[in-house]
Formats: sequence, C-alpha cells, structure tokens
Amino acid sequence: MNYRVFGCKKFGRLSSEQADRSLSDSEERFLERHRAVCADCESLEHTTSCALNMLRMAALEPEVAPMFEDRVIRRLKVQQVKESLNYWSPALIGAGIACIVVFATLHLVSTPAQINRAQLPTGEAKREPIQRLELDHVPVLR
Amino acid sequence: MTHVIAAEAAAQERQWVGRCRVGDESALACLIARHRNRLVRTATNLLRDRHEAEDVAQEAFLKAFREIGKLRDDRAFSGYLYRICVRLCMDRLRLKRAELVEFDTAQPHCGGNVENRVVIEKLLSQLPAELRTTLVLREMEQLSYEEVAEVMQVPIGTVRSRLHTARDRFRKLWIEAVRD
Repeated sequence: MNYRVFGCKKFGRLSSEQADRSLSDSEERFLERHRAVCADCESLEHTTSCALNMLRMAALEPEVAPMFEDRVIRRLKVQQVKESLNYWSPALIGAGIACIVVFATLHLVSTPAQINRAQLPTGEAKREPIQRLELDHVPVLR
Repeated sequence: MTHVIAAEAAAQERQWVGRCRVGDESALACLIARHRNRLVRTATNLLRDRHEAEDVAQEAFLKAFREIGKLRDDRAFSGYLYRICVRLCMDRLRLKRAELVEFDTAQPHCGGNVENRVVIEKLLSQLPAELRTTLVLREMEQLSYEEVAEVMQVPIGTVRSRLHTARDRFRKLWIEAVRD
C-alpha cells in the first residue's frame, strides 16, 4: 500500500521524463515494477502517450507566403520613415514656425509706409448753390 | 562534414548581420530567407493560425532588425530572433485566452486528421500561455530542455516542472474530450 502511495508520484514524474532523457537502470526497473503492480498508472501512462502522439501529429507545416522578404523589407522601410518623422517632427514644426515669423518680419520691414494713390476713390466734390437772401425785397415789418 | 557546413553557415550569418547594421538590403533578405520557415512554423504551431503566424514572424523580424545595433554578439542573432518570435506569440496567446476561441474550419490544413486538429486546438486553447508554449516547443518543435529554457528565459528546472504540469493537464483535457 505504501509502495503504491509513494510510488505513483515518482512514476508520474519518471514517466514524463523518460521522453526527454535516458533513464538510469534503477529508474527503468522502478517503472517496470510499478507498471506491473499499478494498473491505474499504467493506464495513465498509456493515455498520456496517446494524447502526446496526437499533439505531435497535429503539428502544422509552415506556409510562407510568396514575397515574404519583400513585405518585411517594405514594412521595415515604412517603420524607419515613421520613426525618423517622429524623431524630427518637433524640430521641423519649430523650424517652420521660425521661418514664417522671419518672413513676416522681413516683409514688414522692407515695405515702406505709403498710401497708394491709385487706390483712392475717384470723383469731384460738388458744392450746392446757396440761395442768396435778397435784402431789397425783404418785407418791412410794421 | 556537418560541422564544417554549420560553421560556414554561422560565419555567413555573422557577415550578413554585420552588413545589416550598415543597412545592406540584400543581407536583410538573406537573413529573412534563412529564418522565415522556422519562425513561421513555430508561430503557426503556437498560435494555430497561419495568417497570424505570418504577421508575428514579420513583426519579429522588424523588431530584431530595429534592435540589431544593440546586439553584442552577432552569433546570437538567430536565438535572439527566435526568442522575440516566441515572446510575441505568448503575448498574443495571453490576449487570446481571454477571448472566445473560434476555429476557422475553412482554413486549409496540410496532412493529418482535421478533426484531430480541431480537438487539439481546443485543448491547447485551454492551457495557460506558459504551459502551452512549453508543451508546443518541446513536443512539436522538438526543442531540448536547454533550448526551451533559453528561448523562454527561465531556468531548466522551471521548464521541467512546466512540462510535467502541461502534460498532466493536457492528458486530463484529452480524457475529457475523448469521453465527450
């Protein structure tokens, strides 16, 4: 009874490890002895083996799309352009604003303050004739 | 003879990595051509989705090339690239696990029994990303304990215990699936 309680855990571990490394003679003997006395462990080992075989059989073969290299290189170039834009964009924006300010200042300084005569409205100033007051004909007030 | 070929291949790869650093496009293409199949296969087996696997493989290449300047040893490139790919797959698996897993039956598969594949995919989707990755790398990709430990950046003891747990859980899930 004790053998089974303590042995099952060890059996599980060794059973899992036997697929990955070569077991020592004593470990091999232990597995054989345990299989002979414990039907549950033997059944579990068999099930595990079946499940893992199915897993291995379900491995997919790669299907690399044509032009894979070209796609990666294109994406790499796009990424590099984006990164350089991200890196330089604050400097570019600053330089643009500085350029606008400089041009505006130069324009203001170089333009003399004058009135464009050609743009003045055309026409004459007219004076309406004023009615004269005839003093001779003023009625005498009595 | 095999050693000589392997040494030549390694020397050639070092040369390509060096040329990649200075922006040689043909060297980039050579590195991609050499590693693409392995990367796509591993990603396909981990994610069980060909389109996503190709996307992850491309992303792994981009990330590796972006960081190639920081690589101290040119001989480490292939391992570095593979590690990036596995890590990207694990990130996607963690995201996917929260969502409902859907299987596209219209997706073409090569060889093997389609029903078996469907069952295996459902069972794998129920395992946590770490266990699933360890199991797939060991059982499907046939990597050694040391290689799995290096790729996942964990001690060998952790790989051993994860593999044991993963096999155990997979067996239980398998029994349930067969019973149903």
